[in-house]
Amino acid sequence: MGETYSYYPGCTSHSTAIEYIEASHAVMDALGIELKELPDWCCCGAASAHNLSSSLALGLSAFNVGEAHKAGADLVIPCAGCYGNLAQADFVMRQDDKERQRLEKQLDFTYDGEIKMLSLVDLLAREELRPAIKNLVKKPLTGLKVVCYYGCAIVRPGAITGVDDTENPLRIDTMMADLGAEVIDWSCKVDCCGGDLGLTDAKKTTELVNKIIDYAVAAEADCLVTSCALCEANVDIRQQRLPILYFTEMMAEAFQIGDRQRWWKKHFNNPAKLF
Amino acid sequence: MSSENKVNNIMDKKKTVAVIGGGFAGMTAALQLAEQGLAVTLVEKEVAIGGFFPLLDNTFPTNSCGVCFLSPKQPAYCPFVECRLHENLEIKVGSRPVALQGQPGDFNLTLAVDPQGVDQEKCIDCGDCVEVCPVTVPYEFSDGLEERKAVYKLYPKMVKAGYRIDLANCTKCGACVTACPTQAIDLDAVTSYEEEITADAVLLTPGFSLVEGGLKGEYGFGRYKNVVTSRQLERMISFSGPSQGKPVSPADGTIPKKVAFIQCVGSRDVSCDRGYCSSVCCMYATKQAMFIRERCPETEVVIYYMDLRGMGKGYEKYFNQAKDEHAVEYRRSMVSTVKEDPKTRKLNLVYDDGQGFSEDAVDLVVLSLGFDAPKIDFAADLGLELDEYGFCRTQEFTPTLTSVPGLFAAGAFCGPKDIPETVMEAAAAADAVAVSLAVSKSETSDLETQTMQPQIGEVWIEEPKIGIFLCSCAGTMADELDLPRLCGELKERPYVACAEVVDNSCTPQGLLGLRKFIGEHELNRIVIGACSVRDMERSLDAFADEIGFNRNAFVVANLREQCFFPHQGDREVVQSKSKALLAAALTQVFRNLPAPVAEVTVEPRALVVGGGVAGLNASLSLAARGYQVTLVEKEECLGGRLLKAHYTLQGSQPTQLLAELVPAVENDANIEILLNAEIIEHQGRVGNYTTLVRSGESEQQVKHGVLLLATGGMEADTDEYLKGQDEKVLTQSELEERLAISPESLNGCREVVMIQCVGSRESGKREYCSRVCCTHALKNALRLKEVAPEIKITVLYRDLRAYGLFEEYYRKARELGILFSTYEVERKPEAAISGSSLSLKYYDQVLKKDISLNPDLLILSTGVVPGDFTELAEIFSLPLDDYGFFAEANSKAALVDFVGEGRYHCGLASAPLHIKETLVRSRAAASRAATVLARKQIPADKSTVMVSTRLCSGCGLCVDACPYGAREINLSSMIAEIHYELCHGCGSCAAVCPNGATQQIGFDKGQMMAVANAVIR
Repeated sequence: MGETYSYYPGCTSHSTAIEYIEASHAVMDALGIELKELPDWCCCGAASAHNLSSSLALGLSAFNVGEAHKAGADLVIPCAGCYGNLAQADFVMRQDDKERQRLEKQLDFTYDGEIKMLSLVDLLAREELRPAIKNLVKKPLTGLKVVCYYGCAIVRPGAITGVDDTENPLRIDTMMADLGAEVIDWSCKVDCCGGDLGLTDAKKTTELVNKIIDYAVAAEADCLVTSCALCEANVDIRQQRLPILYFTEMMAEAFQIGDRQRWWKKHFNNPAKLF
Repeated sequence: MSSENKVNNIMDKKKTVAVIGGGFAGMTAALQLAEQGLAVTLVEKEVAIGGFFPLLDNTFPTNSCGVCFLSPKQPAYCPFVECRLHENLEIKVGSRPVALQGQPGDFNLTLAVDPQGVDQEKCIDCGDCVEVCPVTVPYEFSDGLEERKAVYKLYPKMVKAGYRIDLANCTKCGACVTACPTQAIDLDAVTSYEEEITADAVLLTPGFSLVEGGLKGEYGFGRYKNVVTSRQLERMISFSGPSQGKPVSPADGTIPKKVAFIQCVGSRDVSCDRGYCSSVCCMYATKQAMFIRERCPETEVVIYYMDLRGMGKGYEKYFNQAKDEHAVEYRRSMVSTVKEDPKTRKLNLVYDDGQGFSEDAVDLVVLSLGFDAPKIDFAADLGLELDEYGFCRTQEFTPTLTSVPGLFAAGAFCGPKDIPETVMEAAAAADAVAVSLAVSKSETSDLETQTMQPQIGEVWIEEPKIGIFLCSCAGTMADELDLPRLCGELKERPYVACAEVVDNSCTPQGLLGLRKFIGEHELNRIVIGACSVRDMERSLDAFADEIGFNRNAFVVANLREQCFFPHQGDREVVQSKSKALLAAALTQVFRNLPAPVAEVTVEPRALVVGGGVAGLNASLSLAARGYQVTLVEKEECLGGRLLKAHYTLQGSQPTQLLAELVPAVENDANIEILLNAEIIEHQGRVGNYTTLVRSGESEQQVKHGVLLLATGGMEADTDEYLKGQDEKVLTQSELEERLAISPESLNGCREVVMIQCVGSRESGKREYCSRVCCTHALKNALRLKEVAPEIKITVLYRDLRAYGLFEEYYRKARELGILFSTYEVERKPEAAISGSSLSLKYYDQVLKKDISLNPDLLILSTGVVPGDFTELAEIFSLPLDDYGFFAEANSKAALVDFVGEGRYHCGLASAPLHIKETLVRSRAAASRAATVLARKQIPADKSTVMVSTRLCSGCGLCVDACPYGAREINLSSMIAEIHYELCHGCGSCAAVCPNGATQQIGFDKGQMMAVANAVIR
């Protein structure tokens, strides 16, 4: 394809979601998409910054948006949380001239609104990529029943993410169907996984996760496919009924690329038996 | 076409009005304008008029059709039928308004006429085209619950024809063209064309649309099969619907065991840009719930709501009926999401009821859809002001005037409202249009004399010479029925002079063809074998008048609906039953008696009782048309309750309204004002009443054609919550007065508590909701916050009824920190005094504990009560309702009418109302009154009764039985007389008469027995 993007790895890419990042890179290599890591990226603020100070949260993310402007290409952000924060900062600067001017001055960059913030789903679920993806499928995921789980950050609010149907997003569903999987519609696509409560209120998180898994099991799914590292962690760790996979891992499996056996071992519910 | 010429001639002389939108508002307004003598064009973008109304089998709060009850006359008109029949009214269907230019008195309206594929004039409603059409698509009428063909009817219960071809889905196979017996279908007419019409004034009644079911994605409409919209459910509970009146689960067709209604879908929800309340959903959901419970007693129904909003006199009773008699459960909550069990297709509702999240499993979820504003293409070109949602912006005290002179508006376009309110606003708009065009009696009265001059021809005393005419219905009858054979057989019957086959007897032109035979055979009675008499009645009556026949010299046998349709395919049955029906008609016409021709000359004066805002407004409207008005006020000055109103929630000045209305009335030469006056006696009938009025020392007799009662109401008193014992306890009106006149007296006031529904909505007290108190509290609370922003205000309420666009003020109040907390009537707040301190304790339902406050002021919303009308009601012989207000003829369609024409009521004497609503209703009443005053004479109806003086014993049972006051005992002869102009022909008196002295004309005992015999033989 020969596309080149700036790249914002975020912290999970080096830690809990290493399998996600490796799979994603393998898929992008296969598709000929080149990523250039921003030279001076910093923390997006995660879930902590906006609890302390909204200007700190906005400043951290705006800094990274500024870095992307300096690099001059659309920015790919694999982590849903990072994407949510950066996209929100971008939205604020797009909508609010005063805030934009303040941040430009403070962070020493010029915002032109030409640089887009892209989640991995934004990048890979584009209509024009579908033929290339279908071409790369070596082993269709035929017979595999999947439910797609989007969580919150890459979907809501629609005004920021640009997602049309925030209650029933379909982009990962379409992608999985293109890989040959049997996609099942279900009721918990955008339900809360507990988010950061996983660290502070394990009981509540387990309750939320179990409800999601209940519906997935009732739908007779073989596995749950997600695009968010935090969702994956919460939903995988707290139950023993269903394997959880990243959507790029599913692509890599269908493409038969990458060090998949190593990735499967990173999951609490090992998905190896599915394939 | 002579009839068309006739209409054109009338139009030349008359002021013209274009009414845009043929829903309930448009039909109502168009009809009233036509009845007042204006030439009206009713423009409808769909292929037939009706709007949303055809969807509704039954309406709240009567659970009946609501518009067609008991008799076909006003006030019980059915707008579908009447609009189609009025000769002052032209209906243009399939016409979209695309541009409007001009000024008052000279508007040019451009219509885009879309090809419908079916010529409505030629279509005879046989349905052959539908049968052969191979294309099937989802039916919009029921939100896709049913299917339809590419040629279809807009809605199933259309009065006549109304087929159209959906050109987008039509494959042009041509099967329908071949099947059509009248060549009404043209598949090649695909281009729209433009048409221009002119009008002196334009009335916008474009109605509303329902929000899409998928608007709130979290409820899963379109995703989960067992989630349906209220529109789909309405079809299910309609007997003409796909499941014949019962709810079914779309997933498997079973009757659901548990049904949940989710309220406020697309209403009161800023997250989807709809901050307003849609006003009708609580009521329609309640209606639907009741029908489900009635038809499927095993099915549980729960309504998930935020505030139960049924604001109005009779609506509280309706909720109570749903709760107590039908066991419908109401659960105050907000539903956050609906989830589907993938195996059972059952749905899980996740909701917050103030106690945290709960889940309920149900079989069917119904989304109570709210209203969307309609799209008006030319609004921007004209500079028509719309609000942020697209509803028409009007001023509070001129609710039917738009921002563009000469352009009027009514109905849901001006904000969500139910049918009764829509009817009222439409009538008020009709009144505003008529007054703006200064339609006076001199211009309007020729219409009646042209069309309604029944005479008894000499024919009645002659030996019967009966002509029988069988309508071939454009050839369709001939397929199933041997018409010539039938003619031959009937000719043999006694007194039959001729029997002929004719065509199109339902049209004036078709009837003209009968003239030849009438002359040739010297006929004096006519039997027509055709379709429903309702379809041809008007033209038949007009034809009778024209040729000098009594209207009862015609009898129609309905061969089509009563024989041809039900027995289609069975030629023998069709033939023999047709013959039997015609034999019955022959007997009927032979034994028919002539219709009476009594007439009353209309006295062009209105008597208006009550000089408050309602009486003043109605008087001005009637006077502006050139009618005389006598305005009677019991106090020494005009103004009524308006004298005590200081400001409104929307920021208008009642004082200013008063300052405009009173001098206008005082200076109007057509209005005579009687102050310090009371009514002593009243008699007479529609068009001609005499009322004795005492004003001060003098008495005078007023002769008048119509009566308007606008005798007002007042704020209720109470002794609850220490009212009368502590000066810190005030009513809302008392607070309003202090805020307006001495706001400084509130200095130092830090905490205020308001209690809603004091004495209202309670059995044993006043059962009804007073409608205005919630908004009254909001208005005073907001004003208090304006005067003293630091003040702490708590409003204790049961359901916050900030309906329609008032919701905005409720939201604003919450944003300003005013605290709203609910209480149950079983656990009311308690007020106590200790020393100089007032304390108030209430149970907070969210915190689940008692809260004690020490308010500086305790404000009670005590509601509205009518004046004491017992004596007045007796003098006028007019009914009061259960609550002491004047009773409406029909709570859906006739809110300012008494049963029978000529006497009307409006304002607080009718029901609790806001000032704006009083202004609307007073003009609606004026409009209704004007339809009587516009006539010179009032003829009797041909459906009536007769009395045999020989048999009448003067027992008076008929007088009590008559719902219209049309029967009276003549005290000198002791015979029960009939006031023909009041009689609706319902037959109640004939039914109770012990001697058979009263007989219904056309249905008398001997005649009916003979007719029955004729059928059997």
